[in-house]
Amino acid sequence: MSRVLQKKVCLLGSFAVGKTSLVGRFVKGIFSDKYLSTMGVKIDRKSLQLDDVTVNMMLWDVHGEESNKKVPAAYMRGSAAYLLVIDGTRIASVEAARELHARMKAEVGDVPFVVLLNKVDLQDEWQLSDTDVTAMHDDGWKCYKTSALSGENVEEAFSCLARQLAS
Amino acid sequence: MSDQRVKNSEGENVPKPGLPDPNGDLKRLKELLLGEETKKIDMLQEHLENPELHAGDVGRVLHQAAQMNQQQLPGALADALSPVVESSLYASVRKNPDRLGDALFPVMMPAIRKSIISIMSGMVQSLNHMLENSFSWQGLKWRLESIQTGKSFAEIVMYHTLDYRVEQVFLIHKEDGSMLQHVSFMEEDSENADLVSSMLTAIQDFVRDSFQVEENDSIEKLNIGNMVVNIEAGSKAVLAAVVRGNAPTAFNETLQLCCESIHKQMAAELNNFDGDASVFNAVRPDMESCLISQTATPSSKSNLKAKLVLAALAVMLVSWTGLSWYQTEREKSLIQALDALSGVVVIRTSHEQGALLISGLRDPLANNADALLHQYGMSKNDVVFMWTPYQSLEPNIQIKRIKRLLKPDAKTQLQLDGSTLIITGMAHRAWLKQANTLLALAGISDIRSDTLVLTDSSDYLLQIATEQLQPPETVHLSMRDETLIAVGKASHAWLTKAVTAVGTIAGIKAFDSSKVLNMQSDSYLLSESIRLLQPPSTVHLNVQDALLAATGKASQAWISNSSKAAVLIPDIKAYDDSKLVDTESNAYLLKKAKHLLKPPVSVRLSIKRSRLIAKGEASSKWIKSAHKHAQRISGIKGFDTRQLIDTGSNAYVLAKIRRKLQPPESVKLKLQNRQLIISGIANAAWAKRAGKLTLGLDGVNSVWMRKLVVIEEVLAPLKAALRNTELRFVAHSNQFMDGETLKIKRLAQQLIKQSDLLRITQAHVKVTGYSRLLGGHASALALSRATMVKREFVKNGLVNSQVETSGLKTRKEGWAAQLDLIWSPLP
Repeated sequence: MSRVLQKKVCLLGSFAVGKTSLVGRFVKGIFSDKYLSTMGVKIDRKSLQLDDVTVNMMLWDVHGEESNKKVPAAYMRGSAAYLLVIDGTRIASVEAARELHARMKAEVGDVPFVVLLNKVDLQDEWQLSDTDVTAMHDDGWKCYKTSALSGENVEEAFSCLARQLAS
Repeated sequence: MSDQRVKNSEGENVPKPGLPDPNGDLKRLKELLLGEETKKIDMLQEHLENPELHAGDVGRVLHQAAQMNQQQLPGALADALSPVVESSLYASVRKNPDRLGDALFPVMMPAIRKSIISIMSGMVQSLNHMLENSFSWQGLKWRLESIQTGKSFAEIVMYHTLDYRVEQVFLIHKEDGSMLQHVSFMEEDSENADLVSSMLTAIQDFVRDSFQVEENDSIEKLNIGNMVVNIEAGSKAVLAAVVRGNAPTAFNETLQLCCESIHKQMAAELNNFDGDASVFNAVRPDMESCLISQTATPSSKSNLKAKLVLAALAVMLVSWTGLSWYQTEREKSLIQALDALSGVVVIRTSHEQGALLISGLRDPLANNADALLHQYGMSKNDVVFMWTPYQSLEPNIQIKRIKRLLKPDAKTQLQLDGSTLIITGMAHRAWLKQANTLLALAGISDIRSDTLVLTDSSDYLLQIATEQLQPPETVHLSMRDETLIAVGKASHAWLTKAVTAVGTIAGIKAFDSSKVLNMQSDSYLLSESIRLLQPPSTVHLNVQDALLAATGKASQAWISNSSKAAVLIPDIKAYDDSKLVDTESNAYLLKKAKHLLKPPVSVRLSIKRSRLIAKGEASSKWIKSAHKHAQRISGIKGFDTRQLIDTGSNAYVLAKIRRKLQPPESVKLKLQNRQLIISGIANAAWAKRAGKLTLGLDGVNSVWMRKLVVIEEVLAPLKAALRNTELRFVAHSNQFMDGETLKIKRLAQQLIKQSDLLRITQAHVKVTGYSRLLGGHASALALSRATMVKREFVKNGLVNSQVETSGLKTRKEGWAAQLDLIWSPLP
């Protein structure tokens, strides 16, 4: 018998790393981006069918963290998984991701997550070195190089997360 | 052995008492051999005989038996059980209806809900249809609202006719915002319920975070327009109800109870929620019980009646006020219109016996006031006029008065400018004079008549004459002392018409047309023809009875143009150019050429395409002078002398000699430095004649004939040589005798030297063979010998056709073959 699972998934990352653009094409949403700037969060749905399980990921697209504006803990609470988005052309976004990861861990414990190294289409401006990526791997981070422009690896990242959520 | 056993009381064979029991051993043996089997048989026996054990056995295999039965005989068991099950159910319901009700509740509720939704949707659709076909003020208002909000018309009607309605109820997980369950009036709301649930949680979080409230405090109510979201938060889950309209306060309690009930019922599931919301289907009936609504109460009927009466009264009041206002306005307009009439002054108005009484002053010349009554929709019964006559000084009334006095012509216009009367248009001098006198009497002293046309003035008469006579542009009219004078040129017809027309104009006493040139007279037509055709001096024109004739010489272009232009000259009836000589015509040019070139009789001149052609014979001197003269003739574009033979040329002299000598084709004649050279081939007779004829030829000083070959001189010796040759053969054979072939070879060599001559004269060697035999073979042998000779000639260079053979059986003394040369004379 097929099962339907509903999971809260947070989409986190520094400001302007391309979170909203990245998922825009892959999700079903009814709320406008206006919510992001006003409430700091917008919710979309990403459905994935894994064998006989339908995983409905309720994506909490949380407004990019800035120094003067922290992501509210309430938005993180209850997350079953999360996506950390890093802007490959901005090394500072790695640090922001690490901080968010730490906060997330404190808030919800060890839950599945994937890291998206975004803007891979901007090779000329790419700042992440192989050492940086290796360091992430060593920390147990599962990284995907993604592009909002071509959609590269986005589905794969979602699938990876969904599989972990269904198991 | 049988006597050792007795039957016991139970009829069993037992050993006789007192006797050693032989069966004891047997029994023991039996026990030893069949002990196990005996026990099993006993057990089976007990199973068969004990009903409890038997039921247990059947129970163990019953489901398998039922399955097998279904496979082997489908439906048989169902048929058999149907009556039993039916009566059991019947008995159960009779005994305790709640039990079956409880059992069926989870199945029936969704079915009933679906059915209700289907009925509601049908009702909304039919309502929609009905309302869409009805037009009322409210209907239009709602329709406008439907367009503005984008909702269906029926939905809008439902919202307005319902007091309140709980449209959707969400059960949301408190921590992660997951939607646990959702019920709605409209099925389409369910699609994005999970997103709405999450967002609602996000809003709760946002508010809680933004306004720093207690952890357990939450939003209880969201108000948006006429919609309210009531939120009832439990410890683990939140129940949110979307209500349109104003729900009673009791509804909060309903929601609270429902929330508590769900928490109680689903405590374990809420605690262990792993994302699978299907377990919460069980609470749907509870949530659906919250989907309540109440229809708005319609206003009472009596109230409607009162409203209708009030409305009728209002309509009547408005009508009455409107009518009296209209009446007053109409009378006011009439009085204003009367007052505006020239020669009418309204002094007083009043109402008497329902009629309007109007009194005032009226000039007798003013327009009739009755006409206005009709225009304002009134009759003489409605209005009574009381006028006092007076004399108005308004300009249009004054003008009327002056017109009555002066009685001007229709062509005379009168106009008042203050106290000045302006007279325009046309009038007689006498009328104007009389008008001046009368106006002075009438008190108008200032008169302006500078633009008035006096119909008896000479300018006016000239204008009339111009209009009546319509003179052509070539005629100028003028007036002098009542006489109309015309100067210029005109057609005869116009002149005649003008004389008649002048007679009808009063004021013109005479018409002088002596200075008008008649455009149809011959002299006028001739001058026009000369002006238009511009003939050259060699042409003379003449016009008689409108017929134009041209004589003399002219170019072809002028003749052609003049014939076209002449017919366009007005009043010229015909143009005769037959007596004109075309100076470019062939005949004219030929005549001129003959005159100038003076050709000898041996020359014929002709003209073709403006080229002069000369044929025949002429001296070089004449030809030279002819070229010069031909160039001077205008109209001649070239002089062609290709067919003209120059009698001084070699070709001419040679042609003349050729005609005289008539040489055969094989003879060539050539003239070089007046010496005639004759070469080629000829027979002796022609050579002899030529020798005589060449003596005393014109233009030839000497004759040279050494290159001429005379046929007879060459061929006669050859013929003699052939004839004198004796050819001998071996007797009775066609074999030459020794040395005979050498003779043939020599002859052939001589003949080949003259091969050209032989060809021209078609000469051939004739070979005649002979034999002395008298038998049947004689002829054959003779011919064979002749053929042998021919073969020898051919071998030595002669062609086959140059040798002809024949055989004779008569014997010729000494010879076996005779030769001869035969040729044809030259053509």
